[in-house]
Amino acid sequence: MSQKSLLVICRKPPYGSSAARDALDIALSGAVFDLSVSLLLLDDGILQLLPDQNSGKIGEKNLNAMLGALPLYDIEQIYTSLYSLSLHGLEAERLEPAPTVLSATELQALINRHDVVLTV
Amino acid sequence: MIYTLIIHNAPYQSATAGTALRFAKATLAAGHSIHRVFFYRDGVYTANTLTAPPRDEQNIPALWQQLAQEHQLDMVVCIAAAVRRGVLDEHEAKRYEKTAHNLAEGFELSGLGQLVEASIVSDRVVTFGGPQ
Amino acid sequence: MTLHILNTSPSDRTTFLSCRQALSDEDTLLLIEDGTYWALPLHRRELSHLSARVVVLAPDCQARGIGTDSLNEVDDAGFVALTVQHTRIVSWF
Repeated sequence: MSQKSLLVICRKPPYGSSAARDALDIALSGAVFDLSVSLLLLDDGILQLLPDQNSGKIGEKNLNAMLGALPLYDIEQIYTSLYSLSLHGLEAERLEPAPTVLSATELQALINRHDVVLTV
Repeated sequence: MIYTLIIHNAPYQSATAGTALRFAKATLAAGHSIHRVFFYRDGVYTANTLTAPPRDEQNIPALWQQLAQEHQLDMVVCIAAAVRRGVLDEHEAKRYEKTAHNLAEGFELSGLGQLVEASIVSDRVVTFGGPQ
Repeated sequence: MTLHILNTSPSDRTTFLSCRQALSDEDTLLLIEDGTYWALPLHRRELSHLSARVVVLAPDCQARGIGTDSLNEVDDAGFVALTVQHTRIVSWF
């Protein structure tokens, strides 16, 4: 099978719905198949990277901790956009894991260098 | 061209289900092939055989079954998403000690690997999603 | 070349603005389902500022009572043709 690159886009916050978890599951499945996988968190998706998440009391798994484990699956880069950060007044270096921040032009380039783009 | 369609939403609540069905019909009518239709998230409800819409409304699960039969479509339902939502085939019903199973004929429960594999072998992958 | 499919109404500005950022000049934006409300007169101006081509899905416009005059429109077969013409498809919802 030819090697393809997969971009997973998630624009939803954690816990409010299963979207963040479902996006992560697709990314991990892609990595299991040895695809080159990138994760792009836009808009509310950036809220998945807020530190100090403690989801025990709502009976949910800590999604942020799972994102931190992505390098173990060779998913090295998490991307976001300048626009997404400004939407919530966040700074990339205060997020965990710290995302790579893209301008609009860089965002277009990221999309255009992937074979398959899946939004969750 | 070879297509894979991914459906995220349940029929009746979301327009997604109808759009995806129309797109699938148009794709086949144009002479393309559909390698797989993958039902993910609430999309797994499409495979509930107990769906019973009023007679004057589209029976979306039945329309998928019909299309699948006519064109030998591979319709895969994400097993993790389905079992959580109570969409079970006979095998899973036994495993979880349930007294009934409700996966409609023509659909198959399998893992996300089927989605990734389909993405690899398809020329085009189209996601049909909605809010939540 | 990427086909972007947007299905959210103009009241959800963030989805539109985020999609707009991701549009390259050679891309196409296809408005489907509630995304077709972007074809209402008030919102059209914003569409006209896009350098990417904008196309609406005619059956979804007709269902909602939205006029498509002077906008590029496609039927379901045209939707499929757009996915053939673009190498990847990104859905915004």
